[in-house]
Amino acid sequence: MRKLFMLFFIISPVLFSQDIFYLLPDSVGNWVKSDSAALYVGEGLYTLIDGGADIFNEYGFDKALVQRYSDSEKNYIDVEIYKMKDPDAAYGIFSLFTFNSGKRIKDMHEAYEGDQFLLFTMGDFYISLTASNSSEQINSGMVDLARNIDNHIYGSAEPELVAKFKNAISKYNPDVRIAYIEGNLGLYNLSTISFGNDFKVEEGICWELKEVKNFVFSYNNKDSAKNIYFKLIEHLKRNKKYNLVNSDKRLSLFTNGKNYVNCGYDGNYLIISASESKSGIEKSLGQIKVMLKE
Amino acid sequence: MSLKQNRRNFLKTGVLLGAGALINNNASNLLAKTSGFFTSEKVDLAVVKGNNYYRSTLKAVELLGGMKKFIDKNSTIGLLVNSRYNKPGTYVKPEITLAAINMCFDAGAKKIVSLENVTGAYWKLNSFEEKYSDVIDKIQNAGRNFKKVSIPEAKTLKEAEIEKEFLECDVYINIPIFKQHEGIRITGCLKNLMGLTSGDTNHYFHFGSNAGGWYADVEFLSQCIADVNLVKKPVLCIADTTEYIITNGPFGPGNVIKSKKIVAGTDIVAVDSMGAKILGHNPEDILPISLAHKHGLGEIDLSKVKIKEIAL
Repeated sequence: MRKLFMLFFIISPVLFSQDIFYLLPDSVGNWVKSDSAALYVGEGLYTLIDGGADIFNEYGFDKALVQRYSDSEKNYIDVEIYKMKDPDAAYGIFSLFTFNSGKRIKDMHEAYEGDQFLLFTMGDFYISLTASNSSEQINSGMVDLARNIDNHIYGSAEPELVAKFKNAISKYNPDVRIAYIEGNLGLYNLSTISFGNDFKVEEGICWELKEVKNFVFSYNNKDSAKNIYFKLIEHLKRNKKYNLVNSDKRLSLFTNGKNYVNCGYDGNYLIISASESKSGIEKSLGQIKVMLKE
Repeated sequence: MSLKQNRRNFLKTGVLLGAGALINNNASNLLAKTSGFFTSEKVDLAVVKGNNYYRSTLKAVELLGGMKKFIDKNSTIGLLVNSRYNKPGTYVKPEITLAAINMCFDAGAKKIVSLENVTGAYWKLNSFEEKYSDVIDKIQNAGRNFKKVSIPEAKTLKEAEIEKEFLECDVYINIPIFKQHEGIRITGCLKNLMGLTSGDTNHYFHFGSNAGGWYADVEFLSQCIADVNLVKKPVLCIADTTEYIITNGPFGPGNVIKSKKIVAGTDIVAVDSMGAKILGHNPEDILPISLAHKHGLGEIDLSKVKIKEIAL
């Protein structure tokens, strides 16, 4: 019985990891599996992305499967399938990588392509395809492979916070990209503002409109939002690089000489806007106030 | 700029030159093949553009006078190659590394140590792997053995845990890729040294000032980068600007630009300044570069540097 129990522990991680292998086709067009697939579970992620794994763990990483496809001319496409803890986590990591990169593929749900890469998300999965080099044939191979994988995944939804603001933000620019953040590392990937050690992200979104970068952070209750706001204000006041321009009960504007940073809170939300333009920030703040009322 | 030209080399080249002139009665051909010492053209920085990155790398080093100018026979060479990433435009093209390795062995290097542990997967990123497998097999990985060193001239990083082999090798060659970086805007030779420091030291780079954020205190991080470069200067830098990401750096994938250029030089600040320029930045705006210049590690003003730029 004890041996059986041990065997279960040895085999079970392998068994439970099989659920993403089915996503990989043997071939699509001229592209055929070459090398064997590599599975990375838990801490194994650090072997796959040395130096970049922490952000995946912040969102909630489960496992990754990597498979190389090659054509007869020795070109290759590397497919990396990341299974995240839930669709919000998958959307979040996808939104970070596509915030500034790639062009939307119109007939796929959430997919962007660039020179030698294609990124998409569906359900619990974030999928990255990268190619050895660039040509029309390789690019179309990436799209075909992505579509094939996409067809095997069901269920996709934006995080609630993104859905809540998306329509309102899109009124100002229909092509605007919204990053979804679930922790401080995600935030640091999008901003170089000094937030201090007491700043904690529970959930947030970021978007950029007319050179103003906006963040809305959502907290469990009003007190948390207010508390984080005052900690941030205190930190910025103590920070020699920032000067307070003006402040009232719920809003404070700082500058570091080059950029303006506006911080405020409203209900469960903490709002931060940053830009070189003070008037741009004021305009943005007006827009966010309208969004919060909707 | 420390160039390995001594009396013995001077005489050796002189004898060769004389003999060549006697045999061929055509000294000019031979002159063209000898180092910059005899030609009037002294090159500080070579920029070579071409589709064959292996050849471009050979040419760039040749324009500087050839590898023999920088390394001694039977010496141990440390190679610091940015090879950790695998997305397009995020790693040094393996053919560039291979060209550097072959030049080192041809110049008489006894041992080549990969300071950042180049893996087998890295060599699979191009088709040269099979052709040069015997050369690749000769490269030794450093492991991850750190030694604490003090840096008295440093402004913020007074001590660091740094790869032991880096400290012990006779000379080291810095082989970075220039690419966009979320925190310090671009990475190159100077930033490449963070591949040699321990996890604790790197943590200090990012969080040592208690600003609360990975890149919340870019000034502090940049000063640490400039400081760590005081430990040891490279004998040569060969930088990859052939294909590089301009978004989602340093990991990628991101939008890629292909300038197809190799930059080589002995002045780490000048090489990084050229990289910054190619990526569309003013070198003065890249903090690690300006702080390294203030440390006296090299020239930031490219108008003061003799640059040779060619296309193959």
